Amino acid sequence: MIAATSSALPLVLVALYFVACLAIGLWALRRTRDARDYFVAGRRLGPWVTAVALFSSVMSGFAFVGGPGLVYRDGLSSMWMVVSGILGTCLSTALVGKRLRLLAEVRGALSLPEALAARYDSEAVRGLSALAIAAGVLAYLATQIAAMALVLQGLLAQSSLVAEAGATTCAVLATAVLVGYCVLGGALASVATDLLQGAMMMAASALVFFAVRAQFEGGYAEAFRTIAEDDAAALGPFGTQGAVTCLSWFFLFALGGSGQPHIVTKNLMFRRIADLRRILPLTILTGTIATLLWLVLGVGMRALVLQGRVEPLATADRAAPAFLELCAEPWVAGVVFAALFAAIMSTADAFLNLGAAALVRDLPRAFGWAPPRHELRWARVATVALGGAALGFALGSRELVAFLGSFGWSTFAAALVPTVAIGLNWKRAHATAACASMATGLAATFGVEIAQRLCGVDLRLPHGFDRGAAALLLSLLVFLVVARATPPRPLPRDIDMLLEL
Amino acid sequence: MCRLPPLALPALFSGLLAQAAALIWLCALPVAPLEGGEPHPRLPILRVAPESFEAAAPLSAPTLLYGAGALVALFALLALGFGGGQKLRRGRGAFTLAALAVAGAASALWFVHRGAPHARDGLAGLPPGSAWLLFGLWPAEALFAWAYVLHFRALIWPPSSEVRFAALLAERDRSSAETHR
Repeated sequence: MIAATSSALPLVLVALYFVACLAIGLWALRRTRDARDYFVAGRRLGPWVTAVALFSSVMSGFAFVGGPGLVYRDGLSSMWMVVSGILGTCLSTALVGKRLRLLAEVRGALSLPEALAARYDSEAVRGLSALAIAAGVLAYLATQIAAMALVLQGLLAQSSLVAEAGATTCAVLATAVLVGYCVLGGALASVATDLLQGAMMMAASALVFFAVRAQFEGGYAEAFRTIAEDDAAALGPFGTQGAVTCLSWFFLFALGGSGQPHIVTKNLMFRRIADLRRILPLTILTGTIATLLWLVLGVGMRALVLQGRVEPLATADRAAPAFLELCAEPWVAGVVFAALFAAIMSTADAFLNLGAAALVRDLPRAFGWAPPRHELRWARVATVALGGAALGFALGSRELVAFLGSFGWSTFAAALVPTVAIGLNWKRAHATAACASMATGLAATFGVEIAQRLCGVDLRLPHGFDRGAAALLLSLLVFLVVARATPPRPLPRDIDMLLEL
Repeated sequence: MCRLPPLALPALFSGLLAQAAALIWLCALPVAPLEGGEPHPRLPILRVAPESFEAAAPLSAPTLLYGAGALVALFALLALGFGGGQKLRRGRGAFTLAALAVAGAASALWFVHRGAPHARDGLAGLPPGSAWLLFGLWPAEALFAWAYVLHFRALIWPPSSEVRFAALLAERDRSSAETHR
């Protein structure tokens, strides 16, 4: 049985990483002069920074903590979420990238609801999309804080400096750092740290790939053999969950990316349309390297537990931290722990910015109220408030990180994909169709979840069909049918011309 | 010349309808055989495939319909994004090649796995179906990125669009200056 070794080195490396994040926040503070700098990084990002910011926003606590946990628990089933990534990036870039950037230029949009309000010429669309974002942000942010607290606990457990730290202390500490550097520099700090975080995630993936391989004399073939001898289906293409679940995940995760506000909003930030030609392959390359961690950590931990070399884990979410505590060299553990924080923080800071924009810019405008006079100051206040609310939500929730992450993804996908991805490419789409599909998507995800919790009814679909995929399918059909069934409305001249380009 | 967006929307709708039909079909089948993984007999948290996976034949047809519908819908949306109101000229071949490669890899995965679900002799110690998933379907998707990059100036951002966009911005600036005056 492998025993845990104690070392302070990982804690020191992670502390250095936190100091670097705060230093970047302070640097960005000097360069953040107005709301445009705060929300869309002054719209001056190059292709490399945009690509790394895109993939590091996707790689969240869900991917780096929840993902290995899913492979540990279910075998290869969740690889369908990973494998859909390249197709999803192509879809998101082709459907949303150019159009959103053009809208940002023509109408000066600083947030997704603002761009959608301009496209559909409708305040109702602005209000509903801001509501969907605010609700989803809170849940998704809570996921990141919960994952971060879990990783911090694992890190402190390995260190000889701190004897024991509770989940609450870890969550508060993590939230403070996160909100701190985000309040300082807004989107500029967020994307600047994304670059550092993205580089760390790729390095961590490569290190983990070799660290897991080193655990098995026969390399990965031995790990695969161990899993297959215990249960052949776990190593099959559909894992232990079966084909229905896997295919519904594939559809949800391939198309869902086009409705994730933390991903598509990056399209408001880059400098030139022509940069998209480089952004797409760079995002795919960097993202694919980083996602290796999802597979290898999960496979490695499952095989180690089956061989009896590691104690069975208390929860699936412990797969990544447990491997680092038990099996990795201290310096490797330090780099990978820091990368886990990076994955979580890069997504969480994007959400803090989105939530602040929805609360300070979009919801007041949707109700016809004048924007606050000191918008930048209010954005910072909203960021702190959101961080506090999400911390409370995280401490009160007991769900697996992977479940919360999947729920957050489904909510955004069902509520926003038709309005964003199809609406920006089809002139006939109008505000009524957008509102109907957003309301359907929210009701089919958030509404059903609340109803299930309040009434205690089991509303799962048969044969493991993912409920998020069904909600996305329903909102897409509603969007197309309503847009076809009702007469089209004339568009503002600039939007009409823009949709022709 | 074929204009993709008008074709893409009916294809998208057909793909979505196929998925909806498959979902209804699945709902009509008895639930008992498959409910996802079941707990491992010895180890907590881990899941194993239920014994009844081998009796999953009744699920094959609706699952295949769902998968095909999903692929058609995804390809149609890609075509909508690639076409964006413009004619597909040189890009059509590359786009079709990418779609065929992805559909081919997905079909190979399906049939190899259905033919021998417990085979272990695939690439890198993986079963053949899993090898097709990780080394076939996954990289094949990158062909769409290749088509996007290769035909970027013809499809996504042609010089004519650049000129029209500059004119649109100039018009906006002119009218905003007049409003200020």
